[in-house]
Amino acid sequence: MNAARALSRHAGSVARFLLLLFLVTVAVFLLLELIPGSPVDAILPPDATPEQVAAARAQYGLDQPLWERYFSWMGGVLQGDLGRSYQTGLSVASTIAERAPVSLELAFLAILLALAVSIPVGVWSAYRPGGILDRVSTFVISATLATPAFVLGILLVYVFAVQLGLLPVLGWTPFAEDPVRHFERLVLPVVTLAAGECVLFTRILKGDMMATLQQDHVLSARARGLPTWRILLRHALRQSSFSLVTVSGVVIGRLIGGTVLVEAIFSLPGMGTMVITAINSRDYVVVQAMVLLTAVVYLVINAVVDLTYPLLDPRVRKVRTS
Amino acid sequence: MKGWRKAPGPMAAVLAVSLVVAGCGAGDDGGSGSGEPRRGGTLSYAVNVEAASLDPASCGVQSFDRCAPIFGTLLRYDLDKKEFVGQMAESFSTTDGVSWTLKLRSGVKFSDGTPFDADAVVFNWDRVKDPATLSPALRVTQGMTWKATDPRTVTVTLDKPNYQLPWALVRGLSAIGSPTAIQKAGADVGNAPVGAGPFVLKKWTRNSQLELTRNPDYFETGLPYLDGLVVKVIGADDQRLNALRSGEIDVDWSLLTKDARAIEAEGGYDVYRVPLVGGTGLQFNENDAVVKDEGLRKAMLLAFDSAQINNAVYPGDAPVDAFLRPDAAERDDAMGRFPDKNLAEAQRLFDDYLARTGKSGETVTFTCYAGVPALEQVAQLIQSQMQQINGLTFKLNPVDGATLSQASSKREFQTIMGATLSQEMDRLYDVFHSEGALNVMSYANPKVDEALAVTRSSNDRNEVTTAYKTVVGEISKDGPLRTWRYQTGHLYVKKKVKGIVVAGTNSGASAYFQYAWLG
Repeated sequence: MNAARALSRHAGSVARFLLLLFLVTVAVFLLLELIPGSPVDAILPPDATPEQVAAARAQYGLDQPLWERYFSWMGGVLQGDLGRSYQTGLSVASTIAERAPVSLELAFLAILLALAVSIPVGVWSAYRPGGILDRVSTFVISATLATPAFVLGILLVYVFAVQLGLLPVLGWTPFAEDPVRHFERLVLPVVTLAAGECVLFTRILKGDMMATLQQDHVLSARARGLPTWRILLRHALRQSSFSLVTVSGVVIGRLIGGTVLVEAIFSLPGMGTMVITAINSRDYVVVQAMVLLTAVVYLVINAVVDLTYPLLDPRVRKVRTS
Repeated sequence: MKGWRKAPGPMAAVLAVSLVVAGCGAGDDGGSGSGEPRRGGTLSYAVNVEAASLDPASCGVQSFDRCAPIFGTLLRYDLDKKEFVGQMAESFSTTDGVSWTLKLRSGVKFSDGTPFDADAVVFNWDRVKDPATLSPALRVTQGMTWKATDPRTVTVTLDKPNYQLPWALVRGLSAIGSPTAIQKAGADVGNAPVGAGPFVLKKWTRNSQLELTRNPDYFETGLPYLDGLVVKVIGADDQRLNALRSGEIDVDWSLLTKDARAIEAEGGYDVYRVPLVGGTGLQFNENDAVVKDEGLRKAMLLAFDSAQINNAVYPGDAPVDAFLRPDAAERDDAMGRFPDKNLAEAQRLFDDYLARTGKSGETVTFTCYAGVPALEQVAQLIQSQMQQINGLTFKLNPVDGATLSQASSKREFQTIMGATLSQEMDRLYDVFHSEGALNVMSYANPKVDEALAVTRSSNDRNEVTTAYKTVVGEISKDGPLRTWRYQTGHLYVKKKVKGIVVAGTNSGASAYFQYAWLG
């Protein structure tokens, strides 16, 4: 009986997942149709001849009705073929495969750095509100919130690359080519990207921790004379991590497709620069593929986050199994 | 100019074509360097936009700085001598401007070992002419036929004389790729370039960098000096300058006078300047039901103030009072200049327009760039200048670059932030001739048409210069494209880089890197 109930619950989730995906693909297709002008105008020079315009429309299937293009595209997607870029002629799937590791590594390291900084700072600030660390972190949070990523990136470049000469200004070196240079080139982009997330994580965790620290089971643990580190990490942090886990999931999804500014500032060959180039040049095939990919990533991450809750809180586990 | 052969006799007539390009200026040592060139090393150069394709049928127009190192160019324009010289080709000559002979060098091979011969040129040009290739150079081939008459000779015939044709062999028709490689690459031709130029493609990481290595079989013996050339894509001007200062790159370019001054003040660099023809400005659509009124356009021109724009957005840049800069040989103020600012006269003309049309006010839309802070600021300044005319509402329509280009090419605007930028004066034919392919303004002036026809049909240098003076005077008086800055391409080169031979491009400045070496 329980197995049947679980199966039915998961079937419902999968159906919702597929329906959302379908709606996303339709929306993307229609939205791009609403943008003024045609991709042909971006592909061809301003003095293109009528014969060139006709040839381009035929080459890219733009002379076909909208629904026919949609189903042709979806047919390809289901077979793993995301089409060929109007601008570069390259396979979109292989281009994404080439660029995804750059954006994924950047996003992963940024999240890791943000968590590595925000968890201890958030926990300690909640434990000692008004203390030195709390006051310093509050100041840094305010300053970081007021500084857009592109300003911070350029500032870091100016100080650490131009003035001090400690790190490279920009660019990308594959890990296989030179591991040291690879990480050197990632330091500034990762710090730039992590700064904003670090602020967000610290604030969320601090707020939740302060509430948890007032709860009975924490007061009871204190009364029992348990060590502070044990109370903070085992009894308070775990229960205060709900919002942090949820937000981290959303942030991972956002960062994977949203490292545009940082990739542009540091000339990194990731998906962000690919998307911005595609949007500017009306390379719809690439934009469609990226929106689809981002939607899938979001849906998958949300599903994973949903599955994580029972691991963090036994009460959720009980509710779900009852 | 190692290894160069000057063009032979008949070419001299062509080379007499007068150009506005005032030559390039460099720092103290002229940048060419002293001492014996050294071999070896890798030079890094930065550009602001990634090349969509390295198909030889398109990259000569769109990405000259990445195309030329791989394919070379059939001809080269020598900025100092103001003449065309042979590069991959030995010569390109004519006696009547209609029949041309392209003579190739003997023994030149593509990097895949196949011959760089007349058949290869014909194959490449046939691709350009095929609409299915979608080449931006197709227009150039209209009215043009060609055939290979022997392995080293291609004869070209035009339907009417055009002594400016050599420009096509510097740009749109300049890149010749290996026919064998092109056929083998198929749809992937834009990603697998095989030429006979000084460098060959090693690795291309899109939106990051293009890595090239020396072509060991390059025809100019001993060249290139460099082992490698890396072309990095860095969008922002400031970041390119930071990369230059930190040693990440050796050569950079921009159009900004303030950057050139800053780099010069810092020292340690040679700065080359390539004056360009044209610029960005306020363009009128003379086909529009409202803007076609000459009195209304004149009123707006009289309210325009380039000094205010430059003071606010481009400090240090001189105000613009004619289409070409004051020292250009093709400018004669007696032939005409942009109207001076005169608000009283602007108001009188506008009131006259209202009286003629029976309207109580008028609204004109200005399609301009969104997301480019400097140009947004310029648009707002122009709006405030125009709205000093009582009764005129000047509405901004900010759009992204692709939408603006489309609005321009489809002539779907009243006024627009338009641009024409080029190294060569011949661009004026396309932009301002009533039948010009790039005349999005629907500008028509019989005097201009007649003079532009002369610029192509005459091989007399003085006659061509006089014709250009007429053109520049008329387009300044009429102001179909009212510019606010004289544009200059700046090339910033670290002192350790020697042997730079500067190239003007359609968007600024670059170099022929086969002559560069690291000191």
